[in-house]
Amino acid sequence: MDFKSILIIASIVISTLLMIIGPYLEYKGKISFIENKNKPITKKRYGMAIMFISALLFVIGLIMRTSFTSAQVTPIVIIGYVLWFVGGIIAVIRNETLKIMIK
Amino acid sequence: MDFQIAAIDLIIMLIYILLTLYIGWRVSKGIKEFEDFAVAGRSFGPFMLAATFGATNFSTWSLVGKPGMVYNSGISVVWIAWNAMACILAAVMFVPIYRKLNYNTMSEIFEDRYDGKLRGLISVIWVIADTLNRYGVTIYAAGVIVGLLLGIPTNYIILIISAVVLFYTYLGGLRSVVITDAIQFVFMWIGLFIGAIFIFNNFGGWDGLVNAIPTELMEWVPAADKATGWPWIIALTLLGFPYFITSQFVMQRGLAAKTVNVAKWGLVFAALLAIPMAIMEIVPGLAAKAILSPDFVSGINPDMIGPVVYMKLLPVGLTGLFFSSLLAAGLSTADSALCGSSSLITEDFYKKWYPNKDEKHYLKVSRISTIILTIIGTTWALLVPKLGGALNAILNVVAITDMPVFVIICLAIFWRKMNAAGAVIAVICATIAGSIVSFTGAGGIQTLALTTLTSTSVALVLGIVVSVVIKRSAVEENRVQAFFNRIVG
Repeated sequence: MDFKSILIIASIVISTLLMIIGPYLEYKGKISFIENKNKPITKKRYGMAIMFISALLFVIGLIMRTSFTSAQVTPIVIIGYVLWFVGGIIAVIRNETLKIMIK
Repeated sequence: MDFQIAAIDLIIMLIYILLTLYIGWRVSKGIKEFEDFAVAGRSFGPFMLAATFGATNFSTWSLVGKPGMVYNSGISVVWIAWNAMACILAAVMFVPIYRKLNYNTMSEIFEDRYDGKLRGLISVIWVIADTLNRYGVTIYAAGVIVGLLLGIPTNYIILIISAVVLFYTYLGGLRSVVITDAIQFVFMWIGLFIGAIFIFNNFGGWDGLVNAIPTELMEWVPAADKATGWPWIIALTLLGFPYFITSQFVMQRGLAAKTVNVAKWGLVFAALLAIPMAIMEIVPGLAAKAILSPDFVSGINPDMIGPVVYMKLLPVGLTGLFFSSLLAAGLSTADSALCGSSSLITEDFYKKWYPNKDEKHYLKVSRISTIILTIIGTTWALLVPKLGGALNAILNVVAITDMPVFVIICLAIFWRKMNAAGAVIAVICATIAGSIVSFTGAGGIQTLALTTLTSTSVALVLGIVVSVVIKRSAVEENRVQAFFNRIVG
């Protein structure tokens, strides 16, 4: 098997182990990520900003398919897709919040 | 082709079914009131949530219908499951709001922000869509595959699967559903893992698989003249937003998390899990292109393409495990539809007609409505063969009904001027417009994209225009103010 297939299979193995161990521990009462120690922030929301830019990249990359080949636009689309996750995880870690939720 | 599986495979499938029934019975011991049934007492952690989100999203159709689609359209089918990226937006923006408002069902937001009539309308749409499509069609898909494998008429399998799902959902509600989903998710993942090992081994890896099929099937972003071209990809991505963010069917889990931070991380993990899951969904379809001849494929039910690939490659014993995972995929989607709909009926209709009953009474009502919905959904499943192309109906239903609902929820939260009249007119007109586009096939090969665009834009434009033209009453002004006060808390 080549590296790509090993990567795919490894991701499934890791996911399976996480989804066995994680729920089992939770069933026994050990729940993680209960609280976020960071206070909610409504300024300098870099995570949300990255999500916004990534969404633009994603959509623009797809529309560019009208003039370019799949091989040319796919990297732009995939980068946009991945950055969406990066931005979202940053936003969740930093506890970035909508302004309407804060007095 | 004769599809036969060995006795050991049957035994494995039977063990899986018995395990599911036992868990449903065991979990039901802790169910005392309606909140236990509807939101499992808000007790779940992020990994359990991620597993149940993943299990709900990964249906029998993932291993049954999708390989057939991949066989014809190629790797771009991966974007269907990758629309789980919407979970990230749900985690960042929407779940904190829902948790602040402390809802038991998603439809409560319509009454809080708009009025009771709209809540009733949306609830009816959701109950019908979830019971008929997500429950009925899913049970049918599972029944077709298992029935063909065992040589038993599909209708009998449909009845057996319905009985199993009803048993543990009736007893344990969302708590049973989430715990069995978590176990079903592991079964599905193990099935995919085993399948992947054998497929990659057969071709010498991912590159070997790619080299064995026509290059045009390896386009991640096909042109617009292809069925899964870039407009379709945009439509599929958009359809992920109502599905993961505002539908009772899925977001009922977000309401069941122990805390808001747990809900956020559960959604993030669910989105991450969808990435390898989506790859595994398309691998059998790609393998089928290399292994199965066009003559053979034209002679079988297209839904059997994926299972045939696994039956050709997997040894005895492992086949049983794999097909248990197929069954698990079906059960985990069907139970979510059933649980979501019965909670909606109790919360949105029964509690309003009979408000002064205790929680034990409402629990009984939820259980009775679970039985009634099972009968309706099973009847629909038995009728699906007469409707033709019903599996594709799931995507069109989301485009027609769920997109307008997503639009008015977004407007409810992000635009204070939005009013109830605008919301009602937006939902009705957008649903009608989307239906017309879908049923007439306007847009040709990109009908789904055009349906999505139509329902979304009609809902958005009419919602805004009507809200600007028609002024809110004093009662509604107070309601809106109270809604935003609760969000700020």
